[in-house]
Amino acid sequence: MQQIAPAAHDVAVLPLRTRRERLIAAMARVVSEEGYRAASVSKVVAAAGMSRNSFYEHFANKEDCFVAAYDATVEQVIARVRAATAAERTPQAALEAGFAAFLRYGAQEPELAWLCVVEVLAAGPRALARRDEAMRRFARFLDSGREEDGEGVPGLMTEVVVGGIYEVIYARILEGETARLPELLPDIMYVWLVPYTGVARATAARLAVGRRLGGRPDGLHVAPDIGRSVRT
Amino acid sequence: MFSERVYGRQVPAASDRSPQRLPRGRHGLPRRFIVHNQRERMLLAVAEAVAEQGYATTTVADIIARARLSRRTFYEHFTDKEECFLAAYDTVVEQMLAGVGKAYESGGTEWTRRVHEGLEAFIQYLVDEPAFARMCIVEVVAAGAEARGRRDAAMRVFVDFLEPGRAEAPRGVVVPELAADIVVGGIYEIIYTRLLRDSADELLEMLPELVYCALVPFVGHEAAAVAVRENEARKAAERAAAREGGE
Repeated sequence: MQQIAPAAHDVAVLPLRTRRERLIAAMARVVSEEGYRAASVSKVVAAAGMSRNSFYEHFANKEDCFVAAYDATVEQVIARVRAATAAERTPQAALEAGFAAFLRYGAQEPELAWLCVVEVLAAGPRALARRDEAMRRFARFLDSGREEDGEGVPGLMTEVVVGGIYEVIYARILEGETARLPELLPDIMYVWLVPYTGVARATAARLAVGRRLGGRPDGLHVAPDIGRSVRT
Repeated sequence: MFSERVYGRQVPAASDRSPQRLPRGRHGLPRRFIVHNQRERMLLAVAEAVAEQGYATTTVADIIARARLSRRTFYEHFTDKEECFLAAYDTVVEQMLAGVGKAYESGGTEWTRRVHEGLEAFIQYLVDEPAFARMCIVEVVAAGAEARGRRDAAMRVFVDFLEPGRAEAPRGVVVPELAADIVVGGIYEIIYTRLLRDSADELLEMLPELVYCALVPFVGHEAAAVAVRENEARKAAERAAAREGGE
């Protein structure tokens, strides 16, 4: 009988997940409920409804499965960000769309967000090295989307912004505010833009992004004497 | 509380000193801790053990072996490893923050200068005290929910140091509150990754850039760059004057 391979884009939306994906999803569930240290292969296979044997067909141990879950999530986030930026015409619009997609992913996948942002710090040196690499990829993405040449801005700035975004996301997730991550977008855009555009243009961009988000007025307050000047 | 030894000289009457009163090292920070009771010996032991082998693999047995104390003595003071770790963390962070706060105050009325002094004292401390640095920056995030909470509280102290920067912004500009959180978190991350790579010395060289990054969301590129240049020039002049005075 002839087998017809599905088109690549169909594979991603197949409702039946592979066994490996089921184990990865189970790992995310277990660590977001109990933390990495308390997680065990037994708990993961129980959560996945699979046997220990099938776990060891895919992964060497708990750490291996955790790192695989981390890697798979990072690839998925990158794919989403790429898709979001592709349609935008200016680097700044692409950056905004990319950040927005990134924050939305976290809000929609709270268990994976917890795994990648919180538990990764407790999962040993391999996981830490993966985190380091993911942060570097994110930094390269930011630098590639910069409109200004950034003369005189220290190279460390991008790394500080990437680390800072990680930290504020971490704090929100720990506070149980994962669903509100997309609201960070205007302020993140401000901090990213300000060394290159100055405070006035960064403020204007922040307000514009806030309006496009549907304008939650809290956190977007503007000084009473500001008038329209910041938009010029 | 640990008592201190400054440049090899033990500070007398440690029990009379309040924890806030620190010896005058280069930045008013303690150079080394000398411990002289059982509790302090265990606090120092857990800090060193965790720095060397990581929080997860450190056991009560490791702590008491280093402290040369019995298991019974350990459990007279602490219920478990976590409680001992948290006590050590609190002790170190309290002393470190007191030193950083003092350096910040020494910057006078100019906020940009205060930030520079505070950040320099912080980084100098981390370079001078590698085991404490490892405990407070790296291991604390792997030591459970309570430890994470303590770290977040320490970070808020740094956010408060930046908060006055909102008044430094050009007229009509409201700097988002999140800016200080991002900058403090970002600098923490820079330090974290360098300590993880055992390259703490890099941090001192980076100081001017780190200060720039802390200032720029509040005052913009030009003002931040100028402030860093002026601070560096003044410090160089002060060091030169101190050398001449010493000869």
